[in-house]
Amino acid sequence: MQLLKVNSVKMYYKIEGKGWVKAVDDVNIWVDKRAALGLAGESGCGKTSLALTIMKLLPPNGKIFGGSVLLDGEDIFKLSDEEFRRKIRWKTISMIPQGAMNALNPVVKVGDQIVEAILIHEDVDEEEARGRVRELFELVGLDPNRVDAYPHELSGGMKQRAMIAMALACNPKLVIADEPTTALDVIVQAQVLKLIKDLQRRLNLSLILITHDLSIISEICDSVAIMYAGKVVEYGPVELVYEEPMHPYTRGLLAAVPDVKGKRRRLESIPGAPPDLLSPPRGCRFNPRCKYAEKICAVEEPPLVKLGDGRLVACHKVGD
Amino acid sequence: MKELIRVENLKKWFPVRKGFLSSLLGGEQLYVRAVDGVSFKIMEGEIFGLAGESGCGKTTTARAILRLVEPTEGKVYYRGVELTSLDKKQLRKVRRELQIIFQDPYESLNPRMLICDIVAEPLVVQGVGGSKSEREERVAKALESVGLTPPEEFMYRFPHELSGGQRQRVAIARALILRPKFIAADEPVSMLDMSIRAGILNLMLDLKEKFGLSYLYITHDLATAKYVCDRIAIMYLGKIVEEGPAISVIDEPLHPYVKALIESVPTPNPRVKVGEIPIKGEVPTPIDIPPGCRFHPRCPYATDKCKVKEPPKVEVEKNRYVACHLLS
Repeated sequence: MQLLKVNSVKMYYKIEGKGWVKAVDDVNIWVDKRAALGLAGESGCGKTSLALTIMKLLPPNGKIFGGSVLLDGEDIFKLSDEEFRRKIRWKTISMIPQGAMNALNPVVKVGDQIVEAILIHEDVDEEEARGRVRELFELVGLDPNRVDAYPHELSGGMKQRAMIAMALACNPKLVIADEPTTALDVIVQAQVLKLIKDLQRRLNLSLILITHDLSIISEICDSVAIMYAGKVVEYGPVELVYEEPMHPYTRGLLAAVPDVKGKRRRLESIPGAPPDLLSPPRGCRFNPRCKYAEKICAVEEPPLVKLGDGRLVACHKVGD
Repeated sequence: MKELIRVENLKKWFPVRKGFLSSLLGGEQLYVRAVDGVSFKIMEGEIFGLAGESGCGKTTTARAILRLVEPTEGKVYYRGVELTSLDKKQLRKVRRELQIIFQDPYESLNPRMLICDIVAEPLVVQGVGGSKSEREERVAKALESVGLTPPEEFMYRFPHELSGGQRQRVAIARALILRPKFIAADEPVSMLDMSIRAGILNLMLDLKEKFGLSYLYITHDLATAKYVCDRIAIMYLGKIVEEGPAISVIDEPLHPYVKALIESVPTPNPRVKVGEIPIKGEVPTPIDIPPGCRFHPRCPYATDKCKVKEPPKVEVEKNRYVACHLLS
């Protein structure tokens, strides 16, 4: 059962005097109920922009150029800003933005910052909100007596747990976590990932996990969408995509990642660098770096098509 | 193999600045014990890894070896010459053979200098390399050897015109131009995208073969360490807790901390998941280092001995060194 379906969404950033950066360009993905989707890709591929588009948290120069986002079948792009704020953002879909743990207000107690978030979104009194924050602290493995701590009194792992508590404050159905463990050391990262996975299962949540680290997705996600230059190039169950990648870019990425618990093998890099999205290459956006590229790849954009095994791939060389 | 670098009981303590009142009242001077008694050797032609979590002292160790920070205590030898006792002039001369690559290629290259001037700068500083045209020729060769070809296409550009991977290649070319014997590479790929990382690591491996280089590879990323290192040392709170051949240490760690550290690393294999991690809490501050074994408050196997006596680093198997009472 799909919880969220993103249909042909386009979101471009306007750069004064230069044109439009096609950060999210005709993206189609979905997240099932109680499932975890990993959104992977290198810096600038549009993964964070897609999340901000779903949350309608775009900067002033970001403009949505069409497409729809269905939540339980309802098109949430059609809601007014007021309705979106009241019904969707934080209530149904919440987000742990990248680096948020370092954006906590340093002079306000952590518990109070979560209370504030609850009071903005829900019709409860302060006492009830405070009670809920203590429960949330317990849920994410923090001592409820630390609600009165200031951010600097918490370690990085504890701050990220507080951010998770904040994201869960209004009982959302979907949580979008943007690089939730990037700033953390590896042991703390493992603890936070286990917490996220555990909460996702216990609370029947759907999760979109955004990361550049393919290993993190393999650790806790059910499906994966690989993005390149504003587009989804491959999408399917994690085991299928990781074990038999079909798109040349996915293959390239996986060949570049070392496995600490596997045999040492020669790593391969992908030549070149991702394109400038002000003027992406014609045809398939990966074609200038692709070793399998043919004439058609530089002319015609490959559609995202479903293969027999259930995955989707956008490549002229796959599926025929 | 011949020994290239020997580090003996290296320490770097940074004094903690005191407030006005506490300096009036006297009080004890506190120190951040970033590196607290580290010893190891790097052999010729070897890639030696120094890995650990943030704040374990790995970067400070590299800087203290090159005397970019002055060690508080201990000795560093390079081919038998004690670096720690050289005066400035002698040090400058020997630095031709000892180079460093930094983590962030967006910060380590002067944005207002042309690539050819950036790469030629070590020649100018050292007063070698001959005339301007001879220098340019050496720059072109260095750029070629790091894969920036044709070099004329890169020499007259500024850093902002290059991608992250290309910038790190420029930084490597700058390190290579004096034909060093040893390069300290401090997290050289952690700022780069995955698809670019492998290219830089492979370049480092190729250059090692081509020029007979040795590296000190500083990283928090054990997967890349396993890929490039011959031997590795894992640090915790300013000390080496385990040392040995990279593959055996990472595949079969012995120290309880190293076991947990490696178990925590996720892998791109969806069939292999991170298991139970028995250690709790986070790394304590290096100002207030626990007595005895500095890992004991987090260690599930700690005994009374661990709380009072610091374990020495001893050879427990051939070429495998561990600092843990349970294993010695």
